[in-house]
Amino acid sequence: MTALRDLMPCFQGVVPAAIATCDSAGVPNVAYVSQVYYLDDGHVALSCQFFNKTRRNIDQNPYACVKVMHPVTLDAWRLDVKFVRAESSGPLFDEMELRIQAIAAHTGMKGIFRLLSSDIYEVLDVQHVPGYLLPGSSDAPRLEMGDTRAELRGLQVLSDRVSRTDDLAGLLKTLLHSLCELFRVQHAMFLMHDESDARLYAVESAGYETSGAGAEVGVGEGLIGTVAKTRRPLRVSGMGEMLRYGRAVRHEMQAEGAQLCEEIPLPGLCDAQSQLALPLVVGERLIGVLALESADPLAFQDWHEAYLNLLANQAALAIERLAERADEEPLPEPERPPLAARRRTFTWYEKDEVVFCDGEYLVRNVPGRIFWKLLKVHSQTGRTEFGNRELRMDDSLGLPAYKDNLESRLILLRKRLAERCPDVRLVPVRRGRFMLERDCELELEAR
Amino acid sequence: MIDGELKEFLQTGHVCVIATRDKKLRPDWGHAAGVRVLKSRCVVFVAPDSSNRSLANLRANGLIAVVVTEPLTHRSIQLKGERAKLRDLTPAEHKLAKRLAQSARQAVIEVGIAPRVAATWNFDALVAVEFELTGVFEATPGPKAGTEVA
Repeated sequence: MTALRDLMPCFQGVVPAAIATCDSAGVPNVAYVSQVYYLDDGHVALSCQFFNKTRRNIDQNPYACVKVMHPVTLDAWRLDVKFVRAESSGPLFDEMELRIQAIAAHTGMKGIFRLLSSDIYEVLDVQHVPGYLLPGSSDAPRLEMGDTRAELRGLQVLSDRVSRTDDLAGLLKTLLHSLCELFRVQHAMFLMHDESDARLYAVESAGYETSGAGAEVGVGEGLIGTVAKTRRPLRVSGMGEMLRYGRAVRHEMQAEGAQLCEEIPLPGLCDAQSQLALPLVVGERLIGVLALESADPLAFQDWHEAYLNLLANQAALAIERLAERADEEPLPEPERPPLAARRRTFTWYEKDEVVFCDGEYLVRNVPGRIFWKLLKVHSQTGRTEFGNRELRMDDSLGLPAYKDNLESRLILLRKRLAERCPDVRLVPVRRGRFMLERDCELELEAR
Repeated sequence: MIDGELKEFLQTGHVCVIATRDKKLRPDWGHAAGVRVLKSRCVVFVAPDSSNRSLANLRANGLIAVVVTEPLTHRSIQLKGERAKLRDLTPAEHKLAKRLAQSARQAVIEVGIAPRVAATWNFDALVAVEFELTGVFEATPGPKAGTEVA
């Protein structure tokens, strides 16, 4: 008998599993299962979203036969199983439900498409299916963890780098670029939680063609928003399959007249096949979400989740520490060289709280209000150095009185400027102080 | 019993799994290349090497369920049948089964399986399992799964 633990790649949801059952009269039935969850070497749990024929059969006759397939080789195994019990609460249910919630949130079926129960089955026998593939096809390769010592070393190096960084922008850049360098992550993004409007906004990224700074996700929306809401890590392999399944259910529910929301586009890679999203939490407070993506459906394994969750906890503490540091005192204004003849027009739309640069969207909400204030003060007084403290004291900016994420908002603003208007820069000079530098004339208009 | 679009869907060549059970009501699954729809009967082309147990069950009790699924959309239809008989494929069925198997491989390539991997699915030396239809059911995941469609 094959050991269940050797079939871990088959439990990643990349290739759907099938379950054969029969009722007490002996009529067979076969259906696909969205999730087969490895519990231990003698048990699996299957997700139950609908009280369907499979479930009714199991109530009459507890025996079933599950087909699982290796996602890389397509080789198959036969699991003879016997129903033990259904759980509709507890840690197992919560973990399986998280994935269903993510599908539901992403495909606009939040609260409608949900896990009814985690059905636990005793595994009576596991048999490789001979002849499923043509003779000479390669045996299923085991997905090894790799050199654990190398991964541990990588974790230590990354942890050291995070500890040593003394500014938030540097910390986020170090965190994401080290993930790519040390853990072979291809695409990583950090989204800061804005408690004032229950949204997450992308502040830093690595591995993407554009930074994506300013991209927003509501708490509870899509995969990242689900992680933010539940504060639990979520690893999705075979995202394409998961979303196809979700869309099939959505189509069926719409045909039944269900009122559904729009599908939430994934931030980041348009062809992401796997995603690992980790919440950064300090105490009860959500700092943000670290989202890793890959076009490889099997990019993230169990160990990634375990290792990187440790790192996420450390990063959360570091972000909190850096965001709370006291600002330094201002220096005298330096002499400014004459500007080039270029001119930039910044427009403030009061109603929408958005700043446009030369007719194109630049930034909005709190970072928009901050930027507009800086531009106004600079153009009226010529002042170039600003401090975080004065921004915190300005009620008109709408920063929360406590835990305002000001640093991360400034990082976002800097990134948007670097991408959309490199002639104007906010350059950190000392702790809590920065200069507004420009290589152009400014024209300001408010509408 | 089955005609029009439904017949076309079933005979297009999607992924096909069968279910059977033994005398102790222990279920089993088997792998198939596809389905041929007759008037009140169907034929499913089963891969014998990977479906020994199911073929033995069919010889013993003739009860079968067949699900045909389009992987890209998850649209699925389930056929239920009885009095299943095993036989060789006719020359025309050989041609049809070859086309269905190729189409099934193409269907999994569409959802990201490498063509060289899809090509290793063993549909050589298929067995024809002809059965009397007792029901046709919606099997697409969702609230309608399990409702009778024909």
